[in-house]
Amino acid sequence: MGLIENRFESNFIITTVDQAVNWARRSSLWPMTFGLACCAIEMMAAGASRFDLDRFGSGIFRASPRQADVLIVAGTVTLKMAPVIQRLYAQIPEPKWVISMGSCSNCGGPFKTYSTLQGVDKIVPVDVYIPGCPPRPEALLYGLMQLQEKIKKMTLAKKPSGGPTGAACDMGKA
Amino acid sequence: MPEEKTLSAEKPATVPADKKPKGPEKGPFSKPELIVFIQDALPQAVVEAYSFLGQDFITANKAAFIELAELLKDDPSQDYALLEDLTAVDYPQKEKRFELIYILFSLNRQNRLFLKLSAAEGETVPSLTGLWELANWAEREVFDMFGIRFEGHPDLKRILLPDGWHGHPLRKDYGLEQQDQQWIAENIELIRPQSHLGIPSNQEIDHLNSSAAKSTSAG
Repeated sequence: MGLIENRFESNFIITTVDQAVNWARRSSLWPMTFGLACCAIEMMAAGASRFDLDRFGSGIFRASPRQADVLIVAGTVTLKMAPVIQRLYAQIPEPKWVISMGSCSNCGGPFKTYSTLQGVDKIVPVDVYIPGCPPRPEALLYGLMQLQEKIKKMTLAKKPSGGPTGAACDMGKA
Repeated sequence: MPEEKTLSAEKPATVPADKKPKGPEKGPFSKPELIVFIQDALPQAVVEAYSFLGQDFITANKAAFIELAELLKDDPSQDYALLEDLTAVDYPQKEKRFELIYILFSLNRQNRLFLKLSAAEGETVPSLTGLWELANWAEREVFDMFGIRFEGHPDLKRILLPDGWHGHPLRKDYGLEQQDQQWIAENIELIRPQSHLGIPSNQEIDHLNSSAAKSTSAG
């Protein structure tokens, strides 16, 4: 949100621009093609014709983080993969969001072992957690819609107090 | 008290150790002619041979191990063309703590044979990469998980864990939830401490205690 952040109070112009910008952002969330385990199969099903992520403007899985808005962490995050995820997250341009899909990504799942990161929120800020092992495509759709609700409440005017991404999600006050 | 009685009645009856059923035992080797055949060619190769639940095991001598494997693979009467798998088990109480298990399969005869080989801590084991290409990655996995080194392997490095990792996780003295904290500190930028479901680990509690002590002493 750059230059004008924290410079203005919320007013008529800001809120109007907010509405337009947030509408545009939430209506074309482009996820990154990034699957780590069996959750990715459900993610693919969600993207395919039966469940059709495209209905929410989110069906265009980008093969490059530089063209993506959303990182859907779908699957078990091993420690070996953790630095890679951090680098990919850093390569996504702002504003960016992270959906943690499935128990493994939320908290390590059944793998409390030598090789597994106990939750992807240890290394990247997570906006939406989707429970399930793996979550059904409907759950991913619901998680995506929750993220859209979150984006609806973003504003240009002030920095968020508690949002994890730093990219403005002030759910409580809005 | 009656309540206690009902509770104890619901518990499964514990069987004393000496009265437990023994379970299946090793039997004599089901193909004595194979042992005779091996001993004709390689007199020192076989340490022990037995059958267990219909599966044939041969414990091999390390000195003649490659020759034995080559004989079983290349001799037309045996024809164990496929190395199905290669793995190891850690028995810390044994004198030679590691036991390697090689599963051979004859595609033509539809017959399976288990080769076993013991290795002590730090002892090298001959590599079978010259006979089966499959042994390459399987031996790398055994090296990764157990730290057993294979002599003659073309590229013996870790296959699953990162290269800089310390320790070998499938050893019995490696903790179930143990992670290489040094590798994590060097490679991952944690924005929250590692813990499971918000329950801090012992290391985290120590870290929190020490940082709290620092802040109080500084303040």
